[in-house]
Amino acid sequence: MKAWLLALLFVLAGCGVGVTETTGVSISAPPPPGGFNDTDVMFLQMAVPQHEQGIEMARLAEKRADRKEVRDLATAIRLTQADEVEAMKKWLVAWEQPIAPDLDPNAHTAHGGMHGTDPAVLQMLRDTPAGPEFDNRFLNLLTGHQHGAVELARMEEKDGLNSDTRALATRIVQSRTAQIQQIGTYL
Amino acid sequence: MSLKRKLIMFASAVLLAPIGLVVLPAATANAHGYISSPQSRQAQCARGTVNFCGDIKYEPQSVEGPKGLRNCHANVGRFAELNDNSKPWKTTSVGRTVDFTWTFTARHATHSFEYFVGNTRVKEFRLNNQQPPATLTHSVNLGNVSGKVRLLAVWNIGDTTNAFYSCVDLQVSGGEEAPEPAPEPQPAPPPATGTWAANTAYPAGSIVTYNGATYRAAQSHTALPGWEPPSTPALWQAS
Repeated sequence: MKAWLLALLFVLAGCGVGVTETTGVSISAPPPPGGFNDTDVMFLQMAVPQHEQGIEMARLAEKRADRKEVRDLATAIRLTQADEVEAMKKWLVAWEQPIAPDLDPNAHTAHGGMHGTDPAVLQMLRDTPAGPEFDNRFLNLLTGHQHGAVELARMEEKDGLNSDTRALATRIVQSRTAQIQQIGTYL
Repeated sequence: MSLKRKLIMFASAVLLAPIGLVVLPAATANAHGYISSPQSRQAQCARGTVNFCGDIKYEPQSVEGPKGLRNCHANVGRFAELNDNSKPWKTTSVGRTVDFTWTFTARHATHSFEYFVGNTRVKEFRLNNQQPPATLTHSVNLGNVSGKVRLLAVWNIGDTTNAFYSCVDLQVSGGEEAPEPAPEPQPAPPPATGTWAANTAYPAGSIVTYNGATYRAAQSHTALPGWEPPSTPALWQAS
Protein backbone atom coordinates (compact mmCIF):
# COMPACT_ATOMS: atom_id res chain seq x y z
CA MET A 1 0.00 0.00 0.00
CA LYS A 2 1.46 3.30 -1.04
CA ALA A 3 1.94 5.71 1.84
CA TRP A 4 0.77 8.68 -0.21
CA LEU A 5 -2.45 6.91 -1.01
CA LEU A 6 -3.16 6.16 2.62
CA ALA A 7 -2.34 9.70 3.60
CA LEU A 8 -4.78 10.91 0.97
CA LEU A 9 -7.44 8.52 2.10
CA PHE A 10 -7.18 9.25 5.74
CA VAL A 11 -6.68 12.97 5.64
CA LEU A 12 -9.16 13.75 2.90
CA ALA A 13 -11.86 11.38 4.04
CA GLY A 14 -11.42 12.44 7.63
CA CYS A 15 -10.92 8.75 8.17
CA GLY A 16 -8.49 8.45 11.06
CA VAL A 17 -7.33 12.04 10.84
CA GLY A 18 -3.77 12.51 11.88
CA VAL A 19 -2.82 8.86 11.59
CA THR A 20 0.26 9.59 9.59
CA GLU A 21 1.47 12.20 12.05
CA THR A 22 0.76 10.31 15.24
CA THR A 23 1.99 6.83 14.42
CA GLY A 24 5.40 7.84 13.17
CA VAL A 25 5.67 4.35 11.73
CA SER A 26 7.74 4.16 8.61
CA ILE A 27 6.81 1.32 6.33
CA SER A 28 10.47 0.51 5.73
CA ALA A 29 11.52 0.62 9.40
CA PRO A 30 11.78 -2.61 11.36
CA PRO A 31 8.54 -3.21 13.25
CA PRO A 32 8.73 -2.02 16.87
CA PRO A 33 7.07 -4.29 19.43
CA GLY A 34 3.35 -3.63 19.33
CA GLY A 35 3.84 -1.26 16.44
CA PHE A 36 1.18 -0.65 13.86
CA ASN A 37 0.82 1.08 10.53
CA ASP A 38 -1.89 2.84 8.57
CA THR A 39 -3.11 -0.37 6.96
CA ASP A 40 -3.71 -1.88 10.42
CA VAL A 41 -5.76 1.16 11.42
CA MET A 42 -7.73 1.27 8.17
CA PHE A 43 -8.39 -2.47 8.33
CA LEU A 44 -9.76 -2.25 11.87
CA GLN A 45 -11.83 0.86 11.14
CA MET A 46 -13.39 -0.83 8.12
CA ALA A 47 -13.74 -4.26 9.72
CA VAL A 48 -15.67 -3.04 12.78
CA PRO A 49 -18.79 -1.87 10.87
CA GLN A 50 -18.43 -4.79 8.46
CA HIS A 51 -18.54 -7.21 11.38
CA GLU A 52 -21.42 -5.33 12.99
CA GLN A 53 -23.52 -5.75 9.86
CA GLY A 54 -22.70 -9.48 9.89
CA ILE A 55 -23.86 -9.66 13.52
CA GLU A 56 -27.17 -8.00 12.57
CA MET A 57 -27.65 -10.47 9.71
CA ALA A 58 -26.93 -13.35 12.09
CA ARG A 59 -29.42 -12.05 14.68
CA LEU A 60 -32.18 -12.08 12.07
CA ALA A 61 -31.24 -15.61 11.01
CA GLU A 62 -31.28 -16.88 14.59
CA LYS A 63 -34.91 -15.75 14.82
CA ARG A 64 -36.14 -16.67 11.35
CA ALA A 65 -34.10 -19.45 9.78
CA ASP A 66 -35.96 -22.68 9.22
CA ARG A 67 -33.11 -25.13 9.68
CA LYS A 68 -31.30 -25.73 12.95
CA GLU A 69 -27.88 -25.94 11.31
CA VAL A 70 -28.41 -22.49 9.79
CA ARG A 71 -29.47 -21.06 13.16
CA ASP A 72 -26.46 -22.69 14.84
CA LEU A 73 -24.11 -21.20 12.24
CA ALA A 74 -25.74 -17.79 12.75
CA THR A 75 -25.28 -18.00 16.53
CA ALA A 76 -21.64 -19.04 16.20
CA ILE A 77 -21.03 -16.16 13.79
CA ARG A 78 -22.72 -13.63 16.08
CA LEU A 79 -20.73 -14.77 19.13
CA THR A 80 -17.32 -14.99 17.45
CA GLN A 81 -17.72 -11.72 15.53
CA ALA A 82 -18.82 -9.91 18.69
CA ASP A 83 -15.56 -11.00 20.36
CA GLU A 84 -13.60 -9.89 17.30
CA VAL A 85 -15.29 -6.47 17.31
CA GLU A 86 -14.45 -6.05 20.99
CA ALA A 87 -10.78 -6.86 20.36
CA MET A 88 -10.60 -4.58 17.33
CA LYS A 89 -12.10 -1.64 19.23
CA LYS A 90 -9.69 -2.23 22.12
CA TRP A 91 -6.72 -2.07 19.77
CA LEU A 92 -7.93 1.15 18.16
CA VAL A 93 -8.44 2.72 21.59
CA ALA A 94 -5.00 1.57 22.74
CA TRP A 95 -3.49 3.12 19.61
CA GLU A 96 -5.47 6.35 20.18
CA GLN A 97 -7.19 6.00 16.84
CA PRO A 98 -10.87 6.76 16.17
CA ILE A 99 -13.10 3.67 16.06
CA ALA A 100 -15.76 5.22 13.88
CA PRO A 101 -14.26 7.78 11.55
CA ASP A 102 -16.46 10.86 11.33
CA LEU A 103 -16.86 10.98 7.60
CA ASP A 104 -18.65 13.74 5.82
CA PRO A 105 -21.85 12.48 4.16
CA ASN A 106 -20.46 12.38 0.63
CA ALA A 107 -17.35 10.53 1.67
CA HIS A 108 -19.45 8.14 3.67
CA THR A 109 -21.56 7.31 0.64
CA ALA A 110 -18.41 6.58 -1.27
CA HIS A 111 -16.98 4.54 1.55
CA GLY A 112 -20.12 2.57 2.30
CA GLY A 113 -19.73 -0.16 -0.24
CA MET A 114 -16.21 -0.94 0.83
CA HIS A 115 -17.15 -1.34 4.45
CA GLY A 116 -19.39 -4.19 3.41
CA THR A 117 -22.30 -2.42 5.01
CA ASP A 118 -24.96 -2.41 2.34
CA PRO A 119 -28.22 -1.34 4.01
CA ALA A 120 -30.22 -3.07 1.25
CA VAL A 121 -28.87 -6.43 2.41
CA LEU A 122 -30.23 -5.97 5.93
CA GLN A 123 -33.47 -4.55 4.59
CA MET A 124 -34.01 -7.54 2.33
CA LEU A 125 -33.54 -9.90 5.26
CA ARG A 126 -35.87 -7.86 7.47
CA ASP A 127 -38.49 -8.03 4.71
CA THR A 128 -38.21 -11.81 4.35
CA PRO A 129 -40.53 -13.78 6.65
CA ALA A 130 -39.38 -16.91 8.48
CA GLY A 131 -39.26 -20.06 6.37
CA PRO A 132 -37.11 -21.96 3.87
CA GLU A 133 -36.93 -18.96 1.52
CA PHE A 134 -35.36 -16.95 4.35
CA ASP A 135 -32.64 -19.59 4.75
CA ASN A 136 -31.68 -19.45 1.08
CA ARG A 137 -31.60 -15.65 1.01
CA PHE A 138 -29.63 -15.44 4.21
CA LEU A 139 -27.06 -17.98 3.02
CA ASN A 140 -26.64 -16.18 -0.30
CA LEU A 141 -26.30 -12.74 1.33
CA LEU A 142 -23.98 -14.04 4.03
CA THR A 143 -21.74 -15.59 1.38
CA GLY A 144 -21.39 -12.23 -0.37
CA HIS A 145 -20.86 -10.49 2.97
CA GLN A 146 -18.08 -12.86 4.02
CA HIS A 147 -16.36 -12.55 0.63
CA GLY A 148 -16.08 -8.86 1.54
CA ALA A 149 -14.51 -9.75 4.91
CA VAL A 150 -11.96 -11.99 3.19
CA GLU A 151 -11.06 -9.21 0.76
CA LEU A 152 -10.49 -6.77 3.63
CA ALA A 153 -8.50 -9.26 5.72
CA ARG A 154 -6.27 -10.21 2.78
CA MET A 155 -5.37 -6.54 2.42
CA GLU A 156 -4.28 -6.57 6.08
CA GLU A 157 -2.33 -9.81 5.67
CA LYS A 158 -0.47 -8.26 2.76
CA ASP A 159 0.23 -4.75 4.03
CA GLY A 160 -0.47 -4.70 7.79
CA LEU A 161 2.30 -4.52 10.39
CA ASN A 162 0.85 -5.32 13.82
CA SER A 163 1.26 -9.00 14.63
CA ASP A 164 -1.99 -9.38 16.61
CA THR A 165 -3.95 -7.63 13.89
CA ARG A 166 -2.35 -9.72 11.18
CA ALA A 167 -3.09 -12.89 13.14
CA LEU A 168 -6.72 -11.83 13.43
CA ALA A 169 -6.80 -11.18 9.69
CA THR A 170 -5.47 -14.68 9.03
CA ARG A 171 -8.16 -16.20 11.26
CA ILE A 172 -10.78 -14.12 9.43
CA VAL A 173 -9.58 -15.37 6.04
CA GLN A 174 -9.60 -18.98 7.29
CA SER A 175 -12.90 -18.93 9.13
CA ARG A 176 -14.84 -16.98 6.50
CA THR A 177 -13.49 -19.12 3.68
CA ALA A 178 -14.53 -22.19 5.68
CA GLN A 179 -17.95 -20.68 6.39
CA ILE A 180 -18.49 -20.13 2.68
CA GLN A 181 -17.64 -23.79 2.08
CA GLN A 182 -19.98 -24.87 4.85
CA ILE A 183 -22.75 -22.67 3.49
CA GLY A 184 -22.24 -24.37 0.14
CA THR A 185 -23.29 -27.65 1.71
CA TYR A 186 -26.52 -26.02 2.97
CA LEU A 187 -27.58 -24.57 -0.39
CA MET B 1 -10.68 -4.68 -9.51
CA SER B 2 -8.27 -4.88 -6.60
CA LEU B 3 -9.00 -3.29 -3.28
CA LYS B 4 -6.00 -1.06 -3.79
CA ARG B 5 -7.37 0.12 -7.11
CA LYS B 6 -10.69 0.84 -5.50
CA LEU B 7 -8.97 2.81 -2.79
CA ILE B 8 -7.18 4.85 -5.41
CA MET B 9 -10.49 5.61 -7.11
CA PHE B 10 -11.98 6.46 -3.77
CA ALA B 11 -9.08 8.68 -2.83
CA SER B 12 -9.25 10.42 -6.19
CA ALA B 13 -12.95 11.03 -5.83
CA VAL B 14 -12.52 12.45 -2.36
CA LEU B 15 -9.66 14.59 -3.57
CA LEU B 16 -11.72 16.07 -6.37
CA ALA B 17 -15.03 16.28 -4.54
CA PRO B 18 -14.35 19.54 -2.69
CA ILE B 19 -13.64 21.22 -6.02
CA GLY B 20 -17.23 20.43 -6.88
CA LEU B 21 -16.55 18.82 -10.23
CA VAL B 22 -17.19 15.22 -9.35
CA VAL B 23 -20.37 13.31 -8.74
CA LEU B 24 -18.70 10.71 -6.57
CA PRO B 25 -18.24 7.59 -8.66
CA ALA B 26 -16.34 5.69 -6.02
CA ALA B 27 -19.28 3.90 -4.45
CA THR B 28 -19.90 2.26 -7.79
CA ALA B 29 -16.32 1.06 -8.13
CA ASN B 30 -16.87 -1.84 -5.75
CA ALA B 31 -19.07 -4.10 -7.80
CA HIS B 32 -18.33 -7.76 -7.55
CA GLY B 33 -20.38 -10.85 -8.13
CA TYR B 34 -20.72 -14.28 -9.66
CA ILE B 35 -23.25 -17.05 -10.26
CA SER B 36 -23.55 -19.22 -7.17
CA SER B 37 -26.37 -21.55 -8.33
CA PRO B 38 -26.01 -23.72 -10.33
CA GLN B 39 -22.40 -23.65 -9.14
CA SER B 40 -20.27 -21.65 -11.56
CA ARG B 41 -16.61 -22.56 -11.89
CA GLN B 42 -15.54 -19.85 -9.43
CA ALA B 43 -18.28 -20.94 -7.00
CA GLN B 44 -16.85 -24.47 -7.12
CA CYS B 45 -13.43 -23.02 -6.24
CA ALA B 46 -14.81 -20.94 -3.34
CA ARG B 47 -16.79 -23.83 -1.87
CA GLY B 48 -14.03 -26.38 -2.16
CA THR B 49 -16.11 -28.46 -4.58
CA VAL B 50 -12.90 -28.65 -6.62
CA ASN B 51 -9.44 -28.26 -5.15
CA PHE B 52 -7.13 -27.16 -7.95
CA CYS B 53 -7.88 -23.43 -7.69
CA GLY B 54 -5.49 -20.59 -6.83
CA ASP B 55 -6.47 -17.09 -5.75
CA ILE B 56 -9.93 -17.43 -7.23
CA LYS B 57 -11.04 -19.45 -4.20
CA TYR B 58 -10.72 -16.30 -2.06
CA GLU B 59 -12.41 -13.96 -4.49
CA PRO B 60 -14.86 -15.68 -6.84
CA GLN B 61 -16.56 -12.30 -7.15
CA SER B 62 -13.58 -10.70 -8.90
CA VAL B 63 -13.61 -12.19 -12.42
CA GLU B 64 -13.68 -8.77 -14.04
CA GLY B 65 -12.47 -7.68 -17.44
CA PRO B 66 -13.36 -5.50 -20.39
CA LYS B 67 -16.80 -5.91 -21.91
CA GLY B 68 -17.15 -8.16 -24.93
CA LEU B 69 -14.98 -11.10 -23.85
CA ARG B 70 -16.26 -14.63 -24.38
CA ASN B 71 -14.06 -16.62 -22.01
CA CYS B 72 -14.41 -17.76 -18.40
CA HIS B 73 -11.51 -15.90 -16.76
CA ALA B 74 -11.94 -12.35 -18.15
CA ASN B 75 -8.32 -12.51 -19.37
CA VAL B 76 -7.12 -12.34 -15.75
CA GLY B 77 -3.93 -14.40 -15.69
CA ARG B 78 -4.12 -15.47 -12.05
CA PHE B 79 -7.60 -16.89 -12.72
CA ALA B 80 -6.53 -18.79 -15.86
CA GLU B 81 -7.72 -22.18 -14.54
CA LEU B 82 -11.31 -20.96 -14.92
CA ASN B 83 -10.91 -21.12 -18.67
CA ASP B 84 -9.36 -24.60 -18.68
CA ASN B 85 -12.00 -27.01 -19.95
CA SER B 86 -9.78 -30.00 -19.21
CA LYS B 87 -10.16 -29.46 -15.46
CA PRO B 88 -12.73 -31.70 -13.72
CA TRP B 89 -15.41 -29.06 -13.24
CA LYS B 90 -18.60 -30.32 -11.68
CA THR B 91 -21.47 -30.42 -14.14
CA THR B 92 -25.03 -29.68 -12.97
CA SER B 93 -27.93 -31.58 -14.55
CA VAL B 94 -30.71 -29.24 -15.62
CA GLY B 95 -33.73 -28.99 -17.89
CA ARG B 96 -33.92 -26.44 -20.73
CA THR B 97 -35.07 -23.71 -18.34
CA VAL B 98 -32.56 -22.91 -15.65
CA ASP B 99 -32.70 -20.53 -12.67
CA PHE B 100 -29.36 -18.74 -12.23
CA THR B 101 -28.75 -17.12 -8.84
CA TRP B 102 -26.10 -14.43 -8.34
CA THR B 103 -24.09 -13.66 -5.23
CA PHE B 104 -22.93 -10.06 -4.89
CA THR B 105 -20.39 -8.47 -2.61
CA ALA B 106 -21.43 -5.07 -3.88
CA ARG B 107 -24.12 -4.09 -6.30
CA HIS B 108 -23.22 -1.92 -9.22
CA ALA B 109 -25.30 0.19 -11.56
CA THR B 110 -25.96 -2.33 -14.29
CA HIS B 111 -26.32 -2.13 -18.02
CA SER B 112 -27.33 -5.74 -18.56
CA PHE B 113 -26.91 -9.41 -17.82
CA GLU B 114 -26.26 -11.65 -20.83
CA TYR B 115 -26.26 -15.45 -21.11
CA PHE B 116 -24.36 -17.22 -23.90
CA VAL B 117 -24.24 -20.83 -25.08
CA GLY B 118 -21.34 -20.99 -27.51
CA ASN B 119 -21.57 -17.79 -29.53
CA THR B 120 -25.34 -17.59 -29.21
CA ARG B 121 -26.83 -15.16 -26.74
CA VAL B 122 -29.79 -17.05 -25.33
CA LYS B 123 -31.02 -14.31 -23.00
CA GLU B 124 -30.45 -10.69 -22.06
CA PHE B 125 -31.81 -8.76 -19.08
CA ARG B 126 -31.44 -4.96 -19.26
CA LEU B 127 -31.40 -2.92 -16.07
CA ASN B 128 -31.06 0.62 -17.48
CA ASN B 129 -28.26 1.44 -15.05
CA GLN B 130 -30.24 0.45 -11.99
CA GLN B 131 -28.59 -1.45 -9.16
CA PRO B 132 -29.60 -5.11 -9.10
CA PRO B 133 -31.44 -6.24 -5.96
CA ALA B 134 -29.39 -7.75 -3.12
CA THR B 135 -30.33 -11.22 -4.31
CA LEU B 136 -31.06 -11.92 -7.95
CA THR B 137 -32.27 -15.01 -9.80
CA HIS B 138 -32.76 -15.13 -13.58
CA SER B 139 -34.85 -17.81 -15.26
CA VAL B 140 -33.25 -18.59 -18.63
CA ASN B 141 -34.52 -20.85 -21.41
CA LEU B 142 -31.45 -22.32 -23.06
CA GLY B 143 -33.26 -23.04 -26.31
CA ASN B 144 -32.85 -26.12 -28.40
CA VAL B 145 -29.68 -27.51 -26.86
CA SER B 146 -28.99 -30.73 -25.03
CA GLY B 147 -26.05 -32.58 -23.59
CA LYS B 148 -22.98 -30.99 -22.08
CA VAL B 149 -23.04 -27.20 -22.34
CA ARG B 150 -20.68 -24.52 -21.07
CA LEU B 151 -22.81 -21.48 -20.36
CA LEU B 152 -21.20 -18.05 -20.05
CA ALA B 153 -22.95 -15.36 -18.02
CA VAL B 154 -21.83 -11.75 -18.39
CA TRP B 155 -22.70 -8.91 -15.98
CA ASN B 156 -22.18 -5.69 -17.91
CA ILE B 157 -21.57 -2.76 -15.59
CA GLY B 158 -23.44 0.44 -16.35
CA ASP B 159 -20.86 3.12 -15.72
CA THR B 160 -17.53 1.43 -16.36
CA THR B 161 -16.13 -0.32 -19.41
CA ASN B 162 -15.96 -3.60 -17.50
CA ALA B 163 -18.01 -6.73 -17.04
CA PHE B 164 -17.97 -9.73 -14.69
CA TYR B 165 -17.83 -13.25 -16.12
CA SER B 166 -19.10 -16.61 -14.81
CA CYS B 167 -18.99 -19.96 -16.61
CA VAL B 168 -21.42 -22.70 -15.58
CA ASP B 169 -21.04 -26.30 -16.74
CA LEU B 170 -24.43 -27.87 -17.44
CA GLN B 171 -25.78 -31.22 -18.59
CA VAL B 172 -28.99 -30.28 -20.34
CA SER B 173 -31.78 -32.82 -20.69
CA GLY B 174 -34.63 -32.31 -23.16
CA GLY B 175 -37.37 -31.92 -20.58
CA GLU B 176 -38.46 -28.69 -19.00
CA GLU B 177 -37.41 -29.68 -15.50
CA ALA B 178 -34.60 -31.90 -14.37
CA PRO B 179 -35.54 -33.88 -11.27
CA GLU B 180 -33.72 -32.52 -8.27
CA PRO B 181 -31.94 -35.31 -6.44
CA ALA B 182 -33.40 -35.60 -2.96
CA PRO B 183 -30.87 -34.49 -0.35
CA GLU B 184 -29.38 -37.35 1.62
CA PRO B 185 -30.59 -37.26 5.21
CA GLN B 186 -27.65 -36.42 7.43
CA PRO B 187 -27.03 -38.78 10.32
CA ALA B 188 -27.07 -37.13 13.73
CA PRO B 189 -23.54 -36.29 14.85
CA PRO B 190 -22.10 -38.82 17.28
CA PRO B 191 -21.18 -37.57 20.74
CA ALA B 192 -18.06 -35.58 20.03
CA THR B 193 -15.00 -36.00 22.18
CA GLY B 194 -11.28 -36.26 21.61
CA THR B 195 -9.02 -33.87 19.81
CA TRP B 196 -10.61 -30.77 18.30
CA ALA B 197 -11.02 -31.20 14.54
CA ALA B 198 -12.23 -28.76 11.91
CA ASN B 199 -15.49 -29.60 10.11
CA THR B 200 -16.78 -31.63 13.06
CA ALA B 201 -20.25 -30.81 14.40
CA TYR B 202 -19.93 -30.24 18.15
CA PRO B 203 -23.15 -30.15 20.19
CA ALA B 204 -23.06 -27.84 23.22
CA GLY B 205 -21.35 -29.64 26.08
CA SER B 206 -18.84 -31.51 23.89
CA ILE B 207 -15.42 -31.88 25.50
CA VAL B 208 -12.31 -31.61 23.33
CA THR B 209 -8.59 -31.22 23.78
CA TYR B 210 -6.53 -28.77 21.79
CA ASN B 211 -2.76 -28.31 22.25
CA GLY B 212 -2.92 -30.13 25.56
CA ALA B 213 -5.74 -28.03 27.04
CA THR B 214 -9.34 -29.17 27.59
CA TYR B 215 -12.32 -27.16 26.35
CA ARG B 216 -16.08 -27.47 26.65
CA ALA B 217 -18.38 -26.36 23.80
CA ALA B 218 -20.58 -23.51 25.01
CA GLN B 219 -22.60 -23.42 21.80
CA SER B 220 -23.53 -26.07 19.22
CA HIS B 221 -21.57 -25.40 16.05
CA THR B 222 -19.50 -26.96 13.30
CA ALA B 223 -15.79 -26.40 13.96
CA LEU B 224 -13.96 -24.48 11.25
CA PRO B 225 -10.33 -23.59 10.54
CA GLY B 226 -9.84 -20.18 12.15
CA TRP B 227 -12.27 -21.07 14.95
CA GLU B 228 -9.75 -22.97 17.09
CA PRO B 229 -10.75 -23.13 20.77
CA PRO B 230 -8.09 -20.72 22.15
CA SER B 231 -9.22 -17.92 19.81
CA THR B 232 -12.99 -18.46 20.18
CA PRO B 233 -13.85 -18.14 23.89
CA ALA B 234 -17.47 -17.56 22.89
CA LEU B 235 -17.61 -21.09 21.48
CA TRP B 236 -15.18 -22.93 23.76
CA GLN B 237 -14.68 -22.54 27.50
CA ALA B 238 -11.37 -23.71 28.90
CA SER B 239 -11.96 -26.23 31.65
